[in-house]
Amino acid sequence: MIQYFSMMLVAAGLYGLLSQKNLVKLIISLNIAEIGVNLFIVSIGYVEGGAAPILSSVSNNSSLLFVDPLPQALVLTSIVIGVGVTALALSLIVSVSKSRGTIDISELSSGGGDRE
Amino acid sequence: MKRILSVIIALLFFFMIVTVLNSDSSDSMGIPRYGEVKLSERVSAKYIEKSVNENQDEIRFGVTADAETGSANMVTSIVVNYRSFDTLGEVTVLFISATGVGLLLGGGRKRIGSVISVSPVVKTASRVIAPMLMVLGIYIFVHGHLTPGGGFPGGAIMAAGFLLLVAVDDEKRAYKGLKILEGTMGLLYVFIGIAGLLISGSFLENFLPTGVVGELFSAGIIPVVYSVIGLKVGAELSGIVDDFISEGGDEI
Amino acid sequence: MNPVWLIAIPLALAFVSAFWRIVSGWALIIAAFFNAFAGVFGVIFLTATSFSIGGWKAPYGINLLVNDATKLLLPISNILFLFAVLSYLRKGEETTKYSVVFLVALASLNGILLTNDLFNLFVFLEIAGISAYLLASTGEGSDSKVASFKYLMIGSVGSLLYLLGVAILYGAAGTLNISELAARVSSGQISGDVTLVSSLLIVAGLGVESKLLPFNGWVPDVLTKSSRVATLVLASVYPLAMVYAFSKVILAVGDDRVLNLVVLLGIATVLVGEVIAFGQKSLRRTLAYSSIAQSGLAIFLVGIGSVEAVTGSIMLLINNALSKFMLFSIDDQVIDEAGRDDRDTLYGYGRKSPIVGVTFVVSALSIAGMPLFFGFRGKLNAISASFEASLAVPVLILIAAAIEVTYYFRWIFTFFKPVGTVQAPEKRILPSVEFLAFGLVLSTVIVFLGVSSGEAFTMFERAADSLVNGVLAIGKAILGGM
Repeated sequence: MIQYFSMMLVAAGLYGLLSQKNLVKLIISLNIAEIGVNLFIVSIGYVEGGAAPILSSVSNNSSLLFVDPLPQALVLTSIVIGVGVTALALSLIVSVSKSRGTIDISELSSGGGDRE
Repeated sequence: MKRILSVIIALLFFFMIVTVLNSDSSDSMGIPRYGEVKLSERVSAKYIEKSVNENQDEIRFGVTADAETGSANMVTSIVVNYRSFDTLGEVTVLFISATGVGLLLGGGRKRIGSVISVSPVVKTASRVIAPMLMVLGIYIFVHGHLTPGGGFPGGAIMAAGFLLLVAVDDEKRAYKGLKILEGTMGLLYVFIGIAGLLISGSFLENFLPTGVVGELFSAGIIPVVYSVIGLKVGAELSGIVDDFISEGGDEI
Repeated sequence: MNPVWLIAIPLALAFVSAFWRIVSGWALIIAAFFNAFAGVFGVIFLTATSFSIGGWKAPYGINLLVNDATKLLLPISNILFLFAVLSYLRKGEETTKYSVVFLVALASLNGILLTNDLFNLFVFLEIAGISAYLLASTGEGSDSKVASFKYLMIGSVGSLLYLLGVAILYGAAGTLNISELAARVSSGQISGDVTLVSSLLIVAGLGVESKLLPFNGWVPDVLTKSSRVATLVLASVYPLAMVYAFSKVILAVGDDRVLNLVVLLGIATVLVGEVIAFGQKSLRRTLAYSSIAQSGLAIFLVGIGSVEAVTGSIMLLINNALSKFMLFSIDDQVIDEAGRDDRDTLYGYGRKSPIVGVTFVVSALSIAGMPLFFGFRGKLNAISASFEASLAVPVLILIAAAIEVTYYFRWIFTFFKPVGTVQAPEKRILPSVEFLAFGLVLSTVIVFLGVSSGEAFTMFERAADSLVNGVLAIGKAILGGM
């Protein structure tokens, strides 16, 4: 079930990316799609009845049933990469809005000059 | 028109993935059903058992000494030891993004003031809470090999402490040493890798003793690397916050 | 020499440059020289093929693969990067201000060429991508920022789809190592639905950076609006690494039906690129669309997948890197001197500056595929390999080649049209020293490879063979040993 929900998130994000014109809304759609993909990756690793992959006093030896730890490691990296790209995109938006005065992608693409 | 096309494409994508999720895996390996993963078919089996180098003993918490990575948190052992190159790349991504934000936005002398005026209660309380947040961040990344979390969430919480201070005080700017801290920590990570190369023969190989699984001083270079990463990420995200609130900057 | 040094040194110097202003200008030069030397002397004589990171054997750890293909491409990429950095060192302070970005780009491009792990490739693609977005934003004015934003959007969606494809493949196969996945996929262990969907997603993801249709909306604006050194790196070194990564992954884990789709998309890219390039008035835009077409050529050959086709692909990639470097440098010289690069400005430029004219002729004819130049051998392989696909394919390629030859000849005639009169003879324009040096070296290489005999070409064949068959063989060895 969760895999379908995460795919719906990705589909919603893709819809936003294709139809929105405001630059900030594009970033938000990208983030939604990224969350969907990360959720999907984590769900690939679920083992029914498995414990969280940390040895502790509760689950104290490695022969017990654990959830797959590798997708969690992949998602860790993917989230951070998403943060980096979002920060860069937002700073580009600030820079563009300062010099063009608009954050609508159709107005920007038709070329206009710099404001003042 | 554009909206309808977008909806169609999004739905097509959704159905494509749904078919692969439901594919019948009778004679070949398909995606297993949710929850029915057989870990023995994946590389993760050896990560859990810590038996990549063919060590077949069971790992017991608090008892086993000199295990392969020595870390109780298996995700940490993957992130910092088995697949440490990915983490170096991730650190680089954050680094280049922070540098990019600095190049595009940074350098302004003045600060963008906040629109709402903040009451003295909030200001005083945040001066108490922000250090607590920083200590929490430090705790998370120092214990990265024992509890969930690690360098990245720890660094992010430290930056959240800085963000709190910035949000309530109109004069707050970043400390001068943040850039130096960020660069030095990144350099340290690459040096740890090169040290592994020169001492043990492979880049980023674990060259410190791994101790007993579950103790604070265990897992070789893992706590060192996570502390380096935590400080670096904290400094980096604080730098990004500082760049966003600075006014002026390069008008390119 | 462990090839990790090619990645570790630029990265370490990048971290230092972040806080030490004085070092940052020198750091880029030091790293570029080190990488160029290490890329040539350290890599060519290597005998070992797989270098594990962290000491864990593949597939449990990440490993770097050095095969005949990387031994060919690593030296070329690093040397071209060095040339790009040196080209405008005296004039611009662009390399000092953006030195961190260039250093990280250098490290990531080497990482892309070397890595043998799907997720590691994703991370390096992201690093290279973010560096590319920053390099694209270096132009003057806000146009470059808008172009960079569009590039960022399309690039991020692409990497998202690539990551999803990798996740699906991992869910079914349980490993992320490219060699092992190649063995599993080719032996039919993975279900057809999974390989189809994951290959589609991976093609979409890698196709963005490789300028494949329909993902290449970002190319014209980015290549025309970024600053000088950035354009040189983005147009000559980046396509080498990106299309090589595309080939590496698709040949290993691609589904056969998706490979056919890749052939179709590649041919469409070539045709669309050439047709649009034909009508461009500015030399720079012509070169941008020509780059799209060249990538399309290299990619459709990868889709065909035979050793002969991949040999042609590698030759075309290298030819594109060398020639586009010179062509964009020429365009920079013109814009430096005259401010614009449309047809009127270029009338007779070749007579005013004969060196520029000659280098333009060499590189333009090489891309167009004329005999005597390197591009001819690549195109020849392309056409003869494409007979395997179907009879329509060589015809389409020949049509595209005809269009390409036409517009390049038009530019060459523009360069050499006589303009001055007897009373006012044309004045001579001298290009910069760096342009002289690099132009001479690259032109010589292009002509040498164009006329040399068959023995020199075994290295391209061995490179292609290592891509098509070598990766699979390593994978089978891993599977057998498990």
